[in-house]
Amino acid sequence: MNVLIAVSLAYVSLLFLVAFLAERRANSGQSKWLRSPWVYTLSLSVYCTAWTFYGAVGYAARSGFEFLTIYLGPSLVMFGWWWILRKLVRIGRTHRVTSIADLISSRFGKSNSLGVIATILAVIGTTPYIALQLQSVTLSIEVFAQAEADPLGYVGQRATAFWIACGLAFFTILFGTRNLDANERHDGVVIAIAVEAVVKLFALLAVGAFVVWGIAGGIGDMFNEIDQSRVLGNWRVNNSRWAALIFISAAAFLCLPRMFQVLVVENDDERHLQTASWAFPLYVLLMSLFVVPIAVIGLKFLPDGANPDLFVLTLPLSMGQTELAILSFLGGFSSATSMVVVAAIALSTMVSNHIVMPIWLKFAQDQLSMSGDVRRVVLLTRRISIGIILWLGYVYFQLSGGGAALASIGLVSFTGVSQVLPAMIGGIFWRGATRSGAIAGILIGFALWLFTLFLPSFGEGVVLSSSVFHQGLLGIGWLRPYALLGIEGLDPLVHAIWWSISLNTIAFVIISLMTFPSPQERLQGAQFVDVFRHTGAPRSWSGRAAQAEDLLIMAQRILGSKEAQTLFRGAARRQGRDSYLPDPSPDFLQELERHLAGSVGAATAHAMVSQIVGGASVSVQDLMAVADETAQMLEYSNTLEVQSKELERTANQLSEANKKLTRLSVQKDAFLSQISHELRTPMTSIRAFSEILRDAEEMSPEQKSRYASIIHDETIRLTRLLDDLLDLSVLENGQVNLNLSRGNLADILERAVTTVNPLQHERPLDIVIDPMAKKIDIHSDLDRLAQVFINLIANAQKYCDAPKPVLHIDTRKIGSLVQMDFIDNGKGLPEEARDVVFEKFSRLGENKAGGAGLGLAICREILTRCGGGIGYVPAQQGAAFRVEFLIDQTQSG
Amino acid sequence: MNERQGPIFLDQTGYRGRRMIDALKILPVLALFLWAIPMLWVSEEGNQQTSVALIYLFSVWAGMIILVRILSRRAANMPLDDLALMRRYSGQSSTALEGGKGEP
Repeated sequence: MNVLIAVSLAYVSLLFLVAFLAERRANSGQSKWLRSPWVYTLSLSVYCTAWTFYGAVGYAARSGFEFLTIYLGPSLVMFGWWWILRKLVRIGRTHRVTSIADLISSRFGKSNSLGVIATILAVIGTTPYIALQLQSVTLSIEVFAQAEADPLGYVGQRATAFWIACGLAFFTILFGTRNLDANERHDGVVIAIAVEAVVKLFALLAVGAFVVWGIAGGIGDMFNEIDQSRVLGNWRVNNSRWAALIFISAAAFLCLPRMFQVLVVENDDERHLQTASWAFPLYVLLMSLFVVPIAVIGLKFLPDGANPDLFVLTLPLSMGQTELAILSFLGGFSSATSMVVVAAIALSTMVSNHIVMPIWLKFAQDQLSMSGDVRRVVLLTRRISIGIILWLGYVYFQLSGGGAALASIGLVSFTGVSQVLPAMIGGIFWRGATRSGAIAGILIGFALWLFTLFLPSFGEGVVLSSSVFHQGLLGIGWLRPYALLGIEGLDPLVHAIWWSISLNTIAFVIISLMTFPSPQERLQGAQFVDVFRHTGAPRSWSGRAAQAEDLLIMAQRILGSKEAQTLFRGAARRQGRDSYLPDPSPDFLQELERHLAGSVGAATAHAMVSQIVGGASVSVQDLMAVADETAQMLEYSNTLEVQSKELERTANQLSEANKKLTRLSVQKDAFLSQISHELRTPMTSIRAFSEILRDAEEMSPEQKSRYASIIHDETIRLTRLLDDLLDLSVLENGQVNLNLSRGNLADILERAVTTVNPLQHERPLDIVIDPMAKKIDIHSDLDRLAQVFINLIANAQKYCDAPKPVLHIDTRKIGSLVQMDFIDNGKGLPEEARDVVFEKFSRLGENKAGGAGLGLAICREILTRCGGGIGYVPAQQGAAFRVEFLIDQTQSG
Repeated sequence: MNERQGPIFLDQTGYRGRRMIDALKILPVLALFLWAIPMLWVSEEGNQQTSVALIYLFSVWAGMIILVRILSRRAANMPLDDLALMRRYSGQSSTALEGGKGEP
């Protein structure tokens, strides 16, 4: 027992370590090997849960060869990847789908009600399944406890299940909700699952090899044993179950939330499917290869009362192979944990995106454009949901008593989640499918599943009374759970699958034919069905009233400021603008919405953007694009689109250049008068005082020295002004050489702060320097950089109008560049000043704080020489300047 | 995708490529057919040797895996996109269909 605990703990720590290392590598951008087709294939093995690891043998021992159907269905789906999976993966990537509920909701016009229905269905269908995993791990631990007859060392079923659930919740929260990735990908989790996939396959193969060659004595003898077996020696398979189970396992393979997560959401490259299409069937083939031998030998050698579900464990144990038994335990443990972790991640994503976020949005109507981080809200709800989902699984396990009732829950769960299949397949292949049709189909299928399979699975008289079983609901004879419409004699499972899926599909088709889709639905439908044809999406936003700055604030709260700024900057560049704020064009809004959808789901993202933009509108052109079937029309409109885009871009650039020129010319005039003024003022006083010195006859030495020092000060001021002008013109002409030396960034900053000495002023400026700066050593012109820092700090000192001015200096490394943000807490720059502030002689407002307005222009020149630049970042708390320069100037190439 | 543009007759490589994908598409149907055959077996006591049944099912499985592997490998040299496929095997550039945008 102690060995078992030690081995398990070691194994769990190994998984943590693997996940941690994988996350670290992924963060440092070395995730190529993490995302190979092999890892993808192995991650699909979350399909093989403890129910299949232990249960397949039990299944075979009880019902013969039927267990194979559970593997044949998924193999069929993988063989037919060109039909369905290829399309699903493409749609998932193009539309940044986060879960199966998101797919359905997004396809049918970003409908949130569908998202909620699919989420609830998934939670109800999956909770018992999680309970099943807890049960299998608990039972397998019990086997070891009993084998050693050591009741003291065993703490009891409940406690074991409880601690396992806690451990799983911890792991899932740690690696599943570490960050709110726009792609919903979890490198650490995927790698841990791939490792577990190898362990469970290896464990089952090892036990199988031991059984065939160690006990039976070779392949030939094994076949003899099989043919002579009482249970498995005879081919007795119920044909309707054979067909129904192949169908339902294929359907569940596509619809299970955890499978959708690994198949579509975590997919990194469509081409991985090509490998997985044969490698995953091979994996499940190997998983089922030794099931029959283990069952046959188990039935022969173990006592009659032995639980066949645990043969994989008890067979090696009874033969004295403790090491093999421990290996097999780890295999079962891996199967259970990987399923629970992925299922919890998938479900928590659904719950937070489709239930919590819409409610939160309702209550936070006008707060979207306020500052603050929404990501915390999302992550917190995901963490809480993971806890709740595992807690539900644990409660279910407790209530069901961990008995045999649970063993049959696997197929019940399969049937339940498969109720979204008609809506999903219809949605991606049939443009006529509508939201009402999907809702009707899923609800009818769901209700039938509850009544004919889920509730009866608790047994007669538990949820449904026995009178319902025999006389029908409300005494109506054709409403009996196992004999709908009075058709008796069917196997209950086949009966439930047949009626729920067929009526679901019929309702879906008929209601779809009868209803008329909204424009939004038609757009989405066209994009999903023709995903291989529409490389560009039709627009669905008209950004009349949209405020780019509000959008940026909202995007920063969800994507994080760095990612949001990159996105906005890129969009602005594509529009031909040199700033951080793009025009809220329909294209840009579409792009933004998809990025947001990657974090919070399509429906929520759509609602958020429309709250700021003021409602989506689908134009006549959009509908025409949908209706246009001919390539010619598309070609024509595309050419037009390309041309008009180019025109738009050029016009944008021109008008921006024009604006800038006008402002520059105004500035130049202003400067000329400014500079004459600047030169004149000291000149006047120098002339006046030197005249006094020359003409005054009697003057005390004190007076003389006072006047002389005034003259001296004024000449210094003049010299400084001329120096600045000279400096700038030298920098601009590129005649200056950088004096390269090595130094620590924090030291330079410190020097700059000391020079400005901001605490000595009447309004002391508090400066907070990011400790990251200490870690960066640079090789550059340190004096010039210090000059830049002094300028920026002095500016904050002069212009920050907060009652308690604070300047934050954030530092980070981006590739070969150092990026520093100087952010104060004042009002920030007015919009019209933002792109002229770096020009010569531009000053904020009137000559309130002195200086000729050359500082930032000099900064810009210096930083350009240092391989970087300076820019103004909008939508921060106050004025924010971003400075970039090369870490090592000698490697600038 | 009802009306494909381009020549009606393809060159030989293009023709082969399309048939390869046709084969890949038909494979799951073949697998389903072969795995449906066990439903025809009559279960009489001692009539059916289950080891033979087991060998049959697993051989079909392994055979399909090999076939899919071969065909998917061939498909790996082709663009996954229907459009790009069409373009490649019709020898016609159809930038017009592609539009000006890339993926977001």
